[in-house]
This record gives sequence, C-alpha cells and structure tokens, in this order.
Amino acid sequence: MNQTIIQVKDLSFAYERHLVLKNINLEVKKGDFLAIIGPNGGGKSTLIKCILGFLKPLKGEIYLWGRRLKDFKDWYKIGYVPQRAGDLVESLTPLTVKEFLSMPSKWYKKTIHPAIKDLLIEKFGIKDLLNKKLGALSYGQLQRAYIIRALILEPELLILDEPSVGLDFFSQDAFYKTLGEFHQKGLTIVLITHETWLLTKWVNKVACINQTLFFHGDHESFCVLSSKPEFFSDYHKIEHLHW
Amino acid sequence: MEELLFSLQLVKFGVLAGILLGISLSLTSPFLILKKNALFPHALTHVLFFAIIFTTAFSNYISSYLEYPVIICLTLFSVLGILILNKYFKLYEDTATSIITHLALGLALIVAAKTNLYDARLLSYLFGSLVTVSQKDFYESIIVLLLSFAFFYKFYPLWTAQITDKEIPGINFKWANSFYLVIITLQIIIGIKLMGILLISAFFVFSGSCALKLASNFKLAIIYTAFLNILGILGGTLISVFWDLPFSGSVVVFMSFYFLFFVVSKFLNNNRRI
Repeated sequence: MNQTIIQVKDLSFAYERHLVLKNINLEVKKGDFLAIIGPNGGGKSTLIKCILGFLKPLKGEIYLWGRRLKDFKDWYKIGYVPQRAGDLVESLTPLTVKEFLSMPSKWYKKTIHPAIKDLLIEKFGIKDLLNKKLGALSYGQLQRAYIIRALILEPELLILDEPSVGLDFFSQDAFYKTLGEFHQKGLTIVLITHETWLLTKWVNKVACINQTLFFHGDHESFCVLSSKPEFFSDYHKIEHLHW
Repeated sequence: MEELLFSLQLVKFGVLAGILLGISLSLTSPFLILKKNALFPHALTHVLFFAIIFTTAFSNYISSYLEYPVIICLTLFSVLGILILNKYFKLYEDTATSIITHLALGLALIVAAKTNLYDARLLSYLFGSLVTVSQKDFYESIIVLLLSFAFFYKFYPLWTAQITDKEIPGINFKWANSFYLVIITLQIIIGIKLMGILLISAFFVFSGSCALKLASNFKLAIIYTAFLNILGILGGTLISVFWDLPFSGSVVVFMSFYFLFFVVSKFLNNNRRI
C-alpha cells in the first residue's frame, strides 16, 4: 500500500468570522498527481497554506508523512511554488538566477547535487539565464526559475499553486509534459489549477473544493461526475458561511 | 592647508565612524529598498528620538551601560505597538507606523521641554554634527560594524528570502526580522550623531538604490553600497569643511549627484544608440 504523504482531518479555517474551509478530509498518497480545482474564493490556496503551516486552522489536524504538522521537521522534502510567483520579484532585485536557485540549500542546510541542477536547467531551458538578474527576467522565465528552485533539492512532494498562469499555451503544454515526466519518476504532485483541460492529460486524482470538499477521487470518477449538469451548480455555489 | 588639516583633525572620529557606518549600512539597506520599506528608518528615527531624549533626560537614573538596552527595548516596544494596531485594530501597517512614530515624536518634545533639553542639544539630535562624535562613539561604531557582519552572516539567507518569497515551508522569519530590527536600530543610533534624526534615513536609500541599479549580483550590490556610502561621507566632509556647511546636508547633496550622474550617463548612452 502506498504511503500517505498528506492527511487532512476535519479541517476548518476562517478569515476573521468568514468560514473559508469547512470539515475538509483529504489524503494524498505517494505517487499521486492530484489536481485541486474549484471556483475563485473556494478555499484552494487557503487549504494549501494550512497544509504548509502558513495559516493556523480553526479546527482539525494535518499530518505530513504521518507526523503532526507541528512536529514535522523535514520541510526539504516539499517543493513549493506560490501563486503568481513571478509577481513577487521587483525589477531592482539584483539576485542572479544562479544565486536564486541556490537559496533552498541555505534554508534547509542541504546540498544541491550538481547533476540534478544541470538536468533541471536543461529541461526548463534556462541555461542562458543563469547569470541574469531576476529583475531582468520575463514573467514566464521567472515562473520557470521558481519551479526549478522548488525541484532543486529533489523533493518527494511538489505543491504548485496555479503555476502556469501567465504562460502561453505551448509553454504550458511543455511545462506539464515535464511535470508528467517527474511524476513518472515517482514525484508526488499537488496542483491547484483552473485549467481543467489538463486533467485528462496528466492528472490521476482530482479534488473539488468550494468551502467544502465535494469531490475527491480518481480522474475517471471525476469525468463521470462532471458530465452531470448539477455538478457545475455545486462547483459555482459559494455559501457565505460564518462561524 | 593648515586650517583644513586642523578642521579634519577635529572631525576625525566623526569621519572614521561615518566610514564604518557606511560599511555597516551596506549590509542592511539593500534589503529595506527591495522590500519597499525605504521610509521605515525615517519612522524609526522618530521612535529613537523619544528613546534618546528619554535616556538623556533620565541619565541620573539609568546607568551608561544600560543606555543602549533601554533604547533598543523602547524601540522594540514601539514596534510591538505598530503590530498591535495592525493586527487588532486592522489598520494598514503604514498607518499604524505613522500613528506610533508621531506619538513618539510628540512624547519626545514634551519630555525635552519639561527636562530642559529644549536647547542646542535638540538641534544636534535633529541635524547631527561631525564635531560632536567622540572617540567613544567611534568605538561603538566598530561594535555595530562587527555586529552587522555577524547578523548578516547568520541571517543573509532569510533576509534575501523575503525579497523573493512571502512564505517558505518550515521557515520562520521571526528571529531574522527581530535581529534585523535590532541592527538597524543600532545603526541609526550611531548615524543620528553624524547625520541627525532628519537625515540619517537618507543613508539607507541614496547609495543602496544606486548600487541596486548598477550591480549585476547581490554581493556587488553590497560592495557598491559600501563604496558609495564611504564616498558620500568623504565628499560630504570635504564640502562641509571647505564651505563651512552643515555636514548632514552636505552629504545628502553630494550623494544626490550620484543620481544626476546616472541620469546623464543613461541619457548619453541612449543618444549614442540612436
């Protein structure tokens, strides 16, 4: 049986008095490629931020590799690309791409294997950009740099929050193809996306969140469910819950 | 020439402390600019003004060894006030900062007026002076420089991380940010003697922003900032001594020429390309 990497038990979260997540139960197993979908404001990014410890839940428990979140120490096992990562960098930023890619090794005190670094640079096509300043890169180039940085310590779990926003169609396709290759090699991926066309191609698990988790299962079951018209009325209905 | 040498002899500790401060600031100021917090040191000077006035007014009761800890505690207490207004009153951070800093400035003026500090000393706090920098201040600037290097070495990965990321899994920025606040507080305390409360924050912005434009990587940005700060101190000193002008104003005017130089060279380069 596959190891459980993320386990979310009965999780609720509220911003002020506005309930954003209600009684979420979710499991991600080793080797899953899970897409989290749902409407804007449905709580997808909030769920990820709770899982990564950035936000404190109202109630519920989160386990990573079987350990409670507060006891979890092996954060180097997780690569994370935030939403609209390319917007985080200011034009004055003097860090070079090379300096940027080496950052995780200093945060987590882990060595970067040169072969892995070279492979990623080659795969994502940023070889010519290594000595360029981050502030001089385009949005798409920055997105790629963030993704490489998330993969540089060879994580077991990669979490991406709408990573292909701002990329053109062909870049998106190439990007997901590369992600698919990493998934084939055993990387577990959790992806927040609005691009449902992706689901048929690369993803094997789907979770639909709109304040509550109203679907969590494999891709085939999702296809059956999503063909019914009432699915989309649930998908778009946002209740303004207060606690 | 003899007159010039005599003047320089009078201000030697000020110049040396300024050079060391210029190097210290190069290790912190680029982060402030990149985090769009360039006005934070100016806000901090208001709080420090109150802390300095307070410790001076009550110097009979506060041992000289405790002066710096008291100043740092009052500063951290004010920052806590900003956090409380931000978190519990849901005020924007800059609004909360403005409220606390103006409160500190108001309190400082009341303490100064009620304790007979409302005189020439007040002017030296506001505008600084090279002549008033003593050998003791010079030694303190060495300590601040060493602390700046130590904190920079320890927290560089987390200070830079906040330029490119808001949150990182498993990384807590609390200590890195607290030490950052402590070190810029110490730098400002030294800087106030030289540049005064009104102009010390210029040191955090002028050289750093030029260096960030010029440098091709982060290490060079720090080296350029240090170089431009030292150049500013030396240039400002010469202008001040030659024309008998206030030191802080001379430094700021001298450093503003950096921008003029860059604008003109960019304009000429663009014209050459056409």
